[in-house]
Amino acid sequence: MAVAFTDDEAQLYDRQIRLWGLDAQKRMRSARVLLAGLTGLGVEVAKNIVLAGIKSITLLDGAVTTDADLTAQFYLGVESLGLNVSHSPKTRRQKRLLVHNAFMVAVVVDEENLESKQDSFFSQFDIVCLVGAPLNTMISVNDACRKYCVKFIAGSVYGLSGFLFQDLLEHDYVEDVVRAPGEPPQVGKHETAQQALDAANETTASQFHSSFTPLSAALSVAWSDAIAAKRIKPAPKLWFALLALWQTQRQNIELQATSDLLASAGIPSSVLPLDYLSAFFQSIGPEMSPVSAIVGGVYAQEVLKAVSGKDAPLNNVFLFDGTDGAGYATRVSL
Amino acid sequence: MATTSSSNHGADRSAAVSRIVGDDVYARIKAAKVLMVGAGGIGCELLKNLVLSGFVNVVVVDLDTIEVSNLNRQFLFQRQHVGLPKAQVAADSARRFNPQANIVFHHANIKNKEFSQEWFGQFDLVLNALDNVSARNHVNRMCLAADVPLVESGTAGYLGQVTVIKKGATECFECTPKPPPKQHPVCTIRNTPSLPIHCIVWGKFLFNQLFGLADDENNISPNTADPEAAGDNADAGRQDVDGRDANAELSSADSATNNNVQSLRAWAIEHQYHADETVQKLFVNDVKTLLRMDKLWRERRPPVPLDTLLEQSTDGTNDDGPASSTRLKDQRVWGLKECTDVFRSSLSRLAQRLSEEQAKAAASGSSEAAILSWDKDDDLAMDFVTAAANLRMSVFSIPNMCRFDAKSMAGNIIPAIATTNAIVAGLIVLEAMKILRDQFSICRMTFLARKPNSRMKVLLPTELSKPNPNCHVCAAKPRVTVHVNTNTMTLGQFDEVVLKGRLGMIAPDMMEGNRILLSSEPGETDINNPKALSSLGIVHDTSVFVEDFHQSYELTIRVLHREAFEADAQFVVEGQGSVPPPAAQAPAAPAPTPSADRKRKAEDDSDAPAVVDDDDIVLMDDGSASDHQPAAAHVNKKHRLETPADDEDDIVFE
Repeated sequence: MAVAFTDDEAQLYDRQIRLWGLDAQKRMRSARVLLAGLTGLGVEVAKNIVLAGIKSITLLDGAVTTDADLTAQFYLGVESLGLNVSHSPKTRRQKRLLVHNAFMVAVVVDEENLESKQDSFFSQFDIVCLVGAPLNTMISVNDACRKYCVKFIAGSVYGLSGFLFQDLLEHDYVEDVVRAPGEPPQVGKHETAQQALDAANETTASQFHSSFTPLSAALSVAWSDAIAAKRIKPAPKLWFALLALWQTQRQNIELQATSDLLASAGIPSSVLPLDYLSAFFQSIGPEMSPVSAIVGGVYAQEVLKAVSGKDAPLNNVFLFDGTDGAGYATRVSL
Repeated sequence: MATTSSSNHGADRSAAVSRIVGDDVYARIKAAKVLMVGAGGIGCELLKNLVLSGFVNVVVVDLDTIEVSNLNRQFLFQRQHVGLPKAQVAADSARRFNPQANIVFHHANIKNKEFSQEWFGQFDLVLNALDNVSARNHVNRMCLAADVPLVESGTAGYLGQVTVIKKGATECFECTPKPPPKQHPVCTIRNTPSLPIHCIVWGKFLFNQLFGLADDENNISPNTADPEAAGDNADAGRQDVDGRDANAELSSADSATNNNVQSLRAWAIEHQYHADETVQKLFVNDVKTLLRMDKLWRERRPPVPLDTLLEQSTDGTNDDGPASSTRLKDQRVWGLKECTDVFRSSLSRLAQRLSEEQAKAAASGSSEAAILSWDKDDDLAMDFVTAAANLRMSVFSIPNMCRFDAKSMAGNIIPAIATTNAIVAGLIVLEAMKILRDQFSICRMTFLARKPNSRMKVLLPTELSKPNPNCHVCAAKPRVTVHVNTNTMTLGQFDEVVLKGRLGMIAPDMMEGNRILLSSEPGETDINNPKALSSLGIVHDTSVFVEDFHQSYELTIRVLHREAFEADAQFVVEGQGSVPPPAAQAPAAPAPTPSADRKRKAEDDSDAPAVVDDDDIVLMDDGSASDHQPAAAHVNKKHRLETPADDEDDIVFE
């Protein structure tokens, strides 16, 4: 865990060390990350975590570049269109990423398909990040990661909306808690040693613990069972729209908002109006760069929190709803 | 190179965007001419998003050059670009994402005259990616004048904010007054420091006294006119001091004017910046002078002169920071002896640098005396302030701090990360697209919070507020009331600290009735500058008319005479609290309130919006002053602005 940290790195990472502290930075510096799915969202995540200074990132993607990739995948140029694997679009991706790698982050490129990987493949990473993966793949990779005690995060952007889900297993983290006289304990802001020194207030780095559940468990919530559903905080509408979307994938049917679809996905119509679902389905399309930036920013920050053990993670779902511009964090679990 | 069947996309990588936003909106995106102000942390992300979303006519303005500490988030820049203009490198890098994009850059200050109202008027949309309130105020005014919609943004650490400003429809950036940066009372800095920040400010002032622009505002010597030392008798403290010894020159200067600024510089020159003598004067003799002001120490722990401390300390080392095992240079708390050594060596080297600058200036025939400017990124200057501040902390029994933390305070550094900037830049483009659709009714002010609120939101859109009818900028006939001592404030000071410093003007003309008192034409009214306002006919309850032609901004100011002000304020703008003179911006004092911990940041830094509960209360957290300060939340029943802030360095706009 101990990583040599130089004055040079301290200068490079100065503005973020002032936010999360040197210890968190050192832990990031030792993190080995797998990122599968170099979509627009994928490269946003890759860019953000490489900038932050991790140890290594493995970029896994066996797909061929299409025009839809170009709306948000800024490391690809128009000249990459239609190139197949033998023309190695991934190599191009790697080169560009390296250009932006002012740091000493090791970048590995893997052009196989995620689905072809054995479970043991995931054991070499501290966290596995999936982007744009189909539901079944998310579930199976999550389960494989559980087997090897590897943290897991997955997400996608659908046109104007996006989500992420994470399973950080049993996660310990540090949060700076500030106590002011006469005030209840508070979750810290930008405390640094400076501030600890500088006042009548005390800042203490406190240990916390958070328990996560696998995606399969989050999906097994029986929303149609009113009693069971009541025990759980109602999720934002977008979560149910995603359940409906995944149901169309399962049944291999066209995107169409119908009450039949909701019934087959076990979603009560009370939590998901059909007109909302129609609007969501209509907004599905190529990734929008600004939406990838928003979801990718949240996604990457969660990865950084996970590997640094600093600050409270969002347990376990984040949703960016393009219909109203709101971002939700909630826990979906039994 | 596109030899494939998809050649129809070869010219437009963003064509697929039309599948989501529709052909009509996509055509508007293609046709739109957009100005992006700032190419830092937010700007790099924003430019990428714009180009990928199909914007092809973008003008970028930024006056900064690239620094190493930018590279952790400003991803369009790389190591080899350090020192180059941000606007240029950002434009070049983003052009590679879409060679068809027409990105024009200006490495310039957006306040320059070349960027006139007509120039702003050519744009369909202005996007701010700035990091300081001053530039935000200016762009706000230019957009109001040219009636161009503006998207305003800011980040600080994990927090961010984006909003839309449309003339007549929404509040403008200045509808909500931003409290001025807090100042530490002069007597605390000079006589009775109790917190590290007091010593840091003292160290920066000392730098200016010795090498920079020395003036009244940054005097660091013992203040024998401290009313507390004097008790009820204003002469008592002075008499204490007048039992003089080694401080003859100091005391006499003090007793005359309480302004011995020149004498410290003169003293240093006379002693040729001798390191040992300077240490003796600042940390021994001056401390003894303070000790003789015994009223100050009745309820305070008295300071201990450095020579005594050095005798007491065994080996003078307490080498390591308490919290960290690291041995990084910046993270280590220096011992007393090391501080003294660093102080001596940095003093000598700075003195040498000053004399070299003076020689250069003389050789070039410059009439202006060369001075050094303090810069947190100048290692030598930072060494000097760290050492000086820590020696003073030791003298006053205040726990020492490492160079890293000293730099945070002294440089008013706002932490900045890539992810927050990416999120905010994404939100900016979504608002821009609504504006291009003429859908102002669905534009929102959005906050990025650190944790979900009670409604599970971490990104909180809120409706835009209506214009403040009493806004001193966007009201139909802007008016403001200023309290000032008309007998002591000169017209020149009024111009600098009130009109330009506080009211954000660039080149004001001021009239009283038909008389032109202040002209923006160089030289025309210079003769008035040293005159007190009252001698120019501006007395209690005089209204003056001020116009800034460049900003197309007209303001009627009602001047009210007031003899004295709290703390060290020189004037008060009604509704905006007391205002410190810009030259003396000291870091914010920690507020003695229970929530002080959340505001504890250095002065220039800051501004972080924190949202407490979405539709009910918006709390702007942090008050220092700074610039990342995003658009302000409106102070009304819907939003509560706790404290605004200003920042300096990069970002938030970055």
